[in-house]
Amino acid sequence: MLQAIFLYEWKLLLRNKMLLLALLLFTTIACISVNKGVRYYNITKTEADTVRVKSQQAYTKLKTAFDTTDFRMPEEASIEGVWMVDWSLWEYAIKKENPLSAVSIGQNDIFPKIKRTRFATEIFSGEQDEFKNPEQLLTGNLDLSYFILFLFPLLFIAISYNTASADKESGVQKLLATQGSGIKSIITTRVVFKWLISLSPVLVAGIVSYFFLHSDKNFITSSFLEWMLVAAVYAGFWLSLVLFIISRAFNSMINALTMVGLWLLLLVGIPGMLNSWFQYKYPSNAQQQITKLRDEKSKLYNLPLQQHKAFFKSHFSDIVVDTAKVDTGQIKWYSGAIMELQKEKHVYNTIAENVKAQTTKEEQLFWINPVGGVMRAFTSISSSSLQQQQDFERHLMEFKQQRADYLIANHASKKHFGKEEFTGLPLYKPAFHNKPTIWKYLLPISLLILLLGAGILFTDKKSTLF
Amino acid sequence: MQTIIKLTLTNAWRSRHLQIFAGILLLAFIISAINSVLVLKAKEQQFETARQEVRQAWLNQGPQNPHNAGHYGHYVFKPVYAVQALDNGIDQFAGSVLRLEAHAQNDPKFSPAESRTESSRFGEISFSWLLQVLMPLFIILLCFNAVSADSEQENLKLMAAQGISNKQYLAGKIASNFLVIALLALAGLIIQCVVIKSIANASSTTQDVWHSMAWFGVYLFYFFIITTLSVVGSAWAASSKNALLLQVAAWVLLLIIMPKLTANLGSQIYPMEQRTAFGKALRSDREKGIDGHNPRDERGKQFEDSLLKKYGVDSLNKLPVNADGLLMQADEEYANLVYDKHFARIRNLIQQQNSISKYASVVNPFLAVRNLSMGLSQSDYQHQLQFVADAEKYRRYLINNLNTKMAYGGSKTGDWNWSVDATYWETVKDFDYSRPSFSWSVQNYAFEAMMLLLWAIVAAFLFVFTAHKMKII
Repeated sequence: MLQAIFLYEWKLLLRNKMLLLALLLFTTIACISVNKGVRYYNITKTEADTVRVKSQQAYTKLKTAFDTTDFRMPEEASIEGVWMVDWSLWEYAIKKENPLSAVSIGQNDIFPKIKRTRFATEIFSGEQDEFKNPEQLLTGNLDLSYFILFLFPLLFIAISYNTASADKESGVQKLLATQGSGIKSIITTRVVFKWLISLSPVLVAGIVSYFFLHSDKNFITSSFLEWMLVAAVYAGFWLSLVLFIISRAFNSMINALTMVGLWLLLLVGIPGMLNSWFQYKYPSNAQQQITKLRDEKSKLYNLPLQQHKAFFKSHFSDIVVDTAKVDTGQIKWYSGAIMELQKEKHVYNTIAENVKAQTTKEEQLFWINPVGGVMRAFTSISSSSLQQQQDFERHLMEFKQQRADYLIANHASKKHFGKEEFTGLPLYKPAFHNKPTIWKYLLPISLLILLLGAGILFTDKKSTLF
Repeated sequence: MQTIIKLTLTNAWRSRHLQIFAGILLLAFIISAINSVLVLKAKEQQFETARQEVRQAWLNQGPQNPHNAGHYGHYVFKPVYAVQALDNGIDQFAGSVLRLEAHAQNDPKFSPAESRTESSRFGEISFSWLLQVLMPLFIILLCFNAVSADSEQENLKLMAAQGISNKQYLAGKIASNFLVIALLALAGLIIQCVVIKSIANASSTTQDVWHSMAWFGVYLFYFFIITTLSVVGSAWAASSKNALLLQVAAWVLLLIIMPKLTANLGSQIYPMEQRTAFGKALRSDREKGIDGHNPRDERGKQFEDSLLKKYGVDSLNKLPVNADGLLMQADEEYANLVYDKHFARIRNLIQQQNSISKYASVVNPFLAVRNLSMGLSQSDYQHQLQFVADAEKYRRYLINNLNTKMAYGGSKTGDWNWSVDATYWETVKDFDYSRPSFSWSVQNYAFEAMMLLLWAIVAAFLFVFTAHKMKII
């Protein structure tokens, strides 16, 4: 029976030129979305590689200088200055590239992925930020996740809204009722067939993206499959929703309006309302905090020298300062630098806390915004979520502290910050983060699938259709 | 025609699904109005507080070397206007804070989107979004069967028997449906205005009123075009079901898919320059000269020589002025040329990327309206550029002032510990952004306005053509 229905639907599909055209159009759009993502990923990767080469060249140059300097000439001493070493390194922290960001760009086009590790460069400085076109950011990216979230349901609705109602309206249903399998089974099989057909652009785009991305050294097949599984859960949700509406036995027009209405509600209405609320409830206070930071930092150097000395002593309790090299005036600059870093960290954490509160609230609200949960799952697998950006930045803040401590401690306590000290200089390494747990984001939509499934079963007894 | 209008209005009034949809729209208008005005109010307060704090910090620097003050820098903030409650355009994605400092030009930073999660990319329910995207869907639901239903129920024959011409019939249908839409949109605008007045009373000006009126006029024009197209489409459709399907498909294609496609095409045809390449080109021009044959050292040497010659002395220490201040100013002026050259390239690229959407308004009136709406709300990229240009003008005034003080304020060359007294900072005027005029805002979108006009002509032609060709029997 299944084979017969599939064959029947297949024949109908081949005869329907409009549908074939729509499928071709959607497959093309899906492939364009993959192309957009892959192109975006390649650009960011190339930029990261360029920066890596630049960093490596600067490091080699500085290393050669330290290898050959013996500090006998007075002018050679300038090389060992704390700020000089920090500046001359030209080292960058690069957020680990994830090829799957090509299929869900998420917030990656907004967040900076490359930042200088120089401890005196504020994390907020944005000197390495890419140029952005705000109008394009407003329009959003046409990536595969967008295609799956927004366009796949529309295609599915367009080809399946009248699966049962058209038969009923044309009187074919009575004929079907005489078949042995029962109308319910026939309609379900037909909707499933149409669902599979609607998924074909996604499948093609999935294969194309695998083809483009699998050779990347950071590509993880299990993550790709996980991503696809999230897409399948989401597609499953639409299958159950459409089946449920069809089972209510409305006419074609009401079916179409209800489905489009639900699409609007789930993908535009609810997320849009919540976003508007979040914008009001959690306003970005970053700009004020950061402008204040400048003034707070400049005031640090007006503190009494005694206070600086006491701070230095407590922060570097286990080092003995080489007083022949470092005078008390210098101590003020060292302690000032560490204090600056601590202020910066404090401001960063304050901003991050505000964002974290927003993220947590959002997660709770996935129960009324299930599509938001799917989006979060996509971006979490693709390392393009806000959470992962914060992990990257927090790690960099920690590293900056480590670098400053090392440079200052070694410069202040050793006769010279020489070859040996330079060799031991901590270099930036991307943090290792555990694989994010994404299934919690999919709980609301999974529950909805179950409820809709139960609804379909219940309708069995009530509906005039099934 | 009056009868047609009366009949259509009565039907619309009685239609249950239209009542529900209109109710949802009105509710969305209220929510969006309250939200956008609250956000606007918060932004206004933030702007004013930050502006005052930064000015106070500048004034309270105390005795300080002017060049240190140049590095300490200054922050300027993009002001907020009441009209932005109607359409906040690119504001979520464009930086609103610009750091002004010696030696370098910066880009505006800290866009609200930087501290938002990926869910924010679903967009917001704003008044402009409701009018741009949701209202056309409402028009489709209202008009898709305007003619086809009469045809299916054979009412057209009755009307023809009463002596109503096709033209009168179609005009009546268009006028009555447009009236419903216009009244609903007007209700939305009144809700917005009432909320703006009651919550953010102090911030609206006469210019805001002009902008709002023109803004609303654009939308009425847009609705008129869509209403006409939808009614005409209904007349050509084989059945109401087909009319609905085709019109909803057009809505999806033109309002959901096409804006993304054009934006995507823009970035593909005009790829953005990477920061590393930009930085390299900038450094090269600063070091080697814009023409590549004017190295920085040589430029400096030439300037020093010209100073010595001008004052008739043989060393910089003997100059009656501080040469450091003059050298820094000369370098600043050269850097301005370099920055202008490179930033112009980037901004031109962005304009080119956006031009694809602009030219696509030939086939999609939504894109024309979106751009006009942002422009009239002063929340578009052109206004962002205007803010950046004004801020840069101020930076040049500020740094020139500091360097001049350094040069002629009584210090000697090489005396970096010299300080100006605390009263000096008051002599430096504060940044005062001059809001672009109404006509300036409009002239940037002449093309889009023409396209809307063209669409209106096309709609009128289709109306006449349909009235001529429509078969009653």
